[in-house]
Amino acid sequence: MKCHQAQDLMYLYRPGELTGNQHQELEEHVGSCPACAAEWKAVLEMEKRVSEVRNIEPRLEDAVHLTRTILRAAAESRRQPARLLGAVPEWTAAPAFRIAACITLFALTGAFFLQTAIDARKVATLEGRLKSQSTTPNTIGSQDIQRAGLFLSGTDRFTALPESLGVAAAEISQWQREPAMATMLATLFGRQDRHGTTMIDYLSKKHPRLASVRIDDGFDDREREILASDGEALLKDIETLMQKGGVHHDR
Amino acid sequence: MHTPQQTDDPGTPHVPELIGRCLRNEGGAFRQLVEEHQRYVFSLAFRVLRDEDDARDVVQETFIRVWKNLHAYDMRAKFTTWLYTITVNLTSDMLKSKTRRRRWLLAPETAESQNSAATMEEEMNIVNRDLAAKIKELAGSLPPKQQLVFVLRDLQDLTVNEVAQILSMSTNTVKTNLCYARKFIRAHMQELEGMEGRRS
Repeated sequence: MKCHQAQDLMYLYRPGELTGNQHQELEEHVGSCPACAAEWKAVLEMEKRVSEVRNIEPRLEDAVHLTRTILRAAAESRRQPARLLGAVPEWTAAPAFRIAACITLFALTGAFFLQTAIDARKVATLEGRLKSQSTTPNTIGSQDIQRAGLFLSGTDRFTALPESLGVAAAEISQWQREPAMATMLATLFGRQDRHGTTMIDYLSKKHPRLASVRIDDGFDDREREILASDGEALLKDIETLMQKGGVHHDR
Repeated sequence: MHTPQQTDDPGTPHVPELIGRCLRNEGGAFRQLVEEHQRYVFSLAFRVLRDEDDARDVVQETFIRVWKNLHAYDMRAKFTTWLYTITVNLTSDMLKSKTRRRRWLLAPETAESQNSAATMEEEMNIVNRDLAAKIKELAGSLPPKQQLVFVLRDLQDLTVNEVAQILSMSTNTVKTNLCYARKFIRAHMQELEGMEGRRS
């Protein structure tokens, strides 16, 4: 054993701190090394003094008062209001429960944010589709019914039209001056059924005579006659379609 | 984490029964538990903190924790080991806050606490009062971990295994810290003795 090893071991001088072999080696080394023997003596002297301190236990003054204070504080801690959710069952302290609770919380949080992201994407897609469908009447259907819609806006020129047609046309005209209503109308007229037929296409096919009326150059007698005879039916169809929300494949 | 090994308190074999009575809220049981153990808790706290008021605070808080957590105490463990673990944790926290307080405020220990310690010292009726004070002072200037190991092993006279359990250390770590602590105290005692020798 080297001196530095011995001088480490000799500080573990109390019973049970060194193994039997370590103790024996230390004693052998100290027996043959005067410097370590001197150190060993000093260390044992220190232990003697520490043991004197060990044997003097600090005195607790007024232990009775301290006991009373503790008992009072303990009683008060018991009287504290119950938790909002009541006593938590002991099994909730189990590591497995805590891990499961963390995973569940994490999954719920993730699901919430994922659903929010999906919803946001759906909304964005719908907005995009609405915008693409409703910018102008040109984007939504056939030229003929587009003109049919437009002529309805010029109600003051169709005094011969039935009164109901005139009122409806006035309403549509009003809508078209309102951007939001125009957008709704265009969207509605551009709505497709599952076969891809728009409301405009449907109306165009159902009222072919109206589709032939041109509105940009005034009306002749034939056109006036068409408007008078078919206009009301057109408005009724529009009203029905608007109530249904679009063209139906089983028409 | 070390698992407790002892199954009873050799010094106080009735402790498990006493704890059972405490859990059943039997009158006077908790008082008896406090009366039997508060002296040891105070002794440990005072030896580390060297302040009577702080040590009394630790005793109070320790027993309130015992009261609140007694249902969670593992009867297979030695009660005093569990009690000392709570005490050491509270003492350690207070020691850290005291060290911080001293470091930040650059204030030495208050005259009051020194007087208190001095009063205690007188009452101890020791043979070599100066020496005891020196050893305690030197122990107080050790790093917290070494200080706790030294106090628990050399002053409170616990076994290396008990110290390891209380401080959640391996026995080798306890021995290493013990070795450093004793070397430090031995070296500084030598210095002090040398100074006194030169003075005389």
